Amino acid sequence: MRWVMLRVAVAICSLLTAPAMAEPTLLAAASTSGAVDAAISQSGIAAVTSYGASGGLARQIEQGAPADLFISANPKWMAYLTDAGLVQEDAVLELMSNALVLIGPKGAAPIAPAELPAALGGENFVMADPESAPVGAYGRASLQALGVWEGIQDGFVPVRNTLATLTAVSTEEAAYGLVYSSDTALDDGVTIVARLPKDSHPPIRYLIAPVAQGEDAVGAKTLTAYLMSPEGQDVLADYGFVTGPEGM
Amino acid sequence: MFALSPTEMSALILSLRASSLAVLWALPFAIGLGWVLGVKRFPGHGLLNAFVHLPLVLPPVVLGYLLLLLLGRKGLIGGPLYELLGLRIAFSEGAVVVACAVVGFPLMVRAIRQSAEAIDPRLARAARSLGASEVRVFITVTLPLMAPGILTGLTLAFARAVGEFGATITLAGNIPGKTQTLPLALFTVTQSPGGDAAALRLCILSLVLAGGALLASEAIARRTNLQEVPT
Repeated sequence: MRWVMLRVAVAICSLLTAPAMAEPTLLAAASTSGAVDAAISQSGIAAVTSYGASGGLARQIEQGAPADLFISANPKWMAYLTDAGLVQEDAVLELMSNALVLIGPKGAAPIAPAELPAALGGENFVMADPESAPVGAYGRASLQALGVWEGIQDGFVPVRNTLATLTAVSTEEAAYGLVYSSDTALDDGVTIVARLPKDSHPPIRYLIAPVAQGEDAVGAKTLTAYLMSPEGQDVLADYGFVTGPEGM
Repeated sequence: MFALSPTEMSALILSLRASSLAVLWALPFAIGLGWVLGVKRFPGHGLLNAFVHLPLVLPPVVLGYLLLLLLGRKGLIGGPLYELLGLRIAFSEGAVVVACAVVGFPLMVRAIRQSAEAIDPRLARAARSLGASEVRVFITVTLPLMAPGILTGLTLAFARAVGEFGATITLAGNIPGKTQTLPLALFTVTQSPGGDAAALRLCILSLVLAGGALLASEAIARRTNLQEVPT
């Protein structure tokens, strides 16, 4: 019995110290996690993933994090890395797009975006902070273009991200909120009350690029090729992202 | 470089005000609980102690989420408050105070409990034998002997409250000029490229505040110890 234990211990130790198999490491924007995880498991490629805010990931790469591939929800942060020489500009591809929706608590009636200030009637409106989250910046641009931005300022609560937006609306702490259409699949406590026109905000672009300091360039290339293939794009579309020519 | 913008200034003032209010509100409860945990032995002592320490070990974002569910308009506590008093806690300055109070509370209880444990029980017994009532014993004997712990707890909890981030942004949102505290302002500037100078400025400010509170705590502890020597 003691020998079996010892052998198990030795086996575990050798597993821990064995040279890592060639697996590309992907750092990706948190909002893509469900779709990207599904696409990776469909592809059969073994990849290590780490999700977080685009800005945080870009700073990790800047500090030398072992990353082979980066998916950014905010083109500003991809540009930050190309400027720093950590990503080659001509290797950046457009992976997919997204759409903006207004949400209300479960069962809320549809509204026209222009009616938003009146529909709020002094209640809270939640959205990820435009200063820190790309969805908030797109949302602010869209609401400004639609002429309702000033009208919602009194009740506007910037929150950390789209998950916090969903929580605030589903608990009815806020009457309405703004998220990506791909986020609404995560929470059945909310209802889409309006879809914001695509031309009311700058194009939403999820960019993907290999990281120069990566150690598995081949793996990064294979994974990118799958995500850009028709099969990969179909999986992403299943999760509410906009793919194909209409999104770009 | 060190000139604060108006929103940064209001973030600083809010941080100081909310943290002060938070520790003052929490203090009576912390004194009561610290004394009970330090002096009394009863069934469920360990359980109560563990419960009080939960905010210290839970991830602050989880804590904020639980508080939002509890204090929200549909919540167990927030529901009746809203129905009866029309009070809304989430996304208000009150939410900042609540978040700060909850995260600082265990630190306060710990410090007070330790000083309560160190009190010689014979002192209270002597006071009682001389005819003092329980209330009088507590106010004139126990409370002064717990003073060092109370002051240490106050400053520690204040320092923790000034640095509070996760529970605050979840429960109170990040409204500039209303619920945006110093750590939230710092988070916001680090999330945009080119915000490094502002981030550094706010970072230094936070360090000065938290460091100042800790130094004050040390100084208080030393002074009260010295005063106790002659007695």
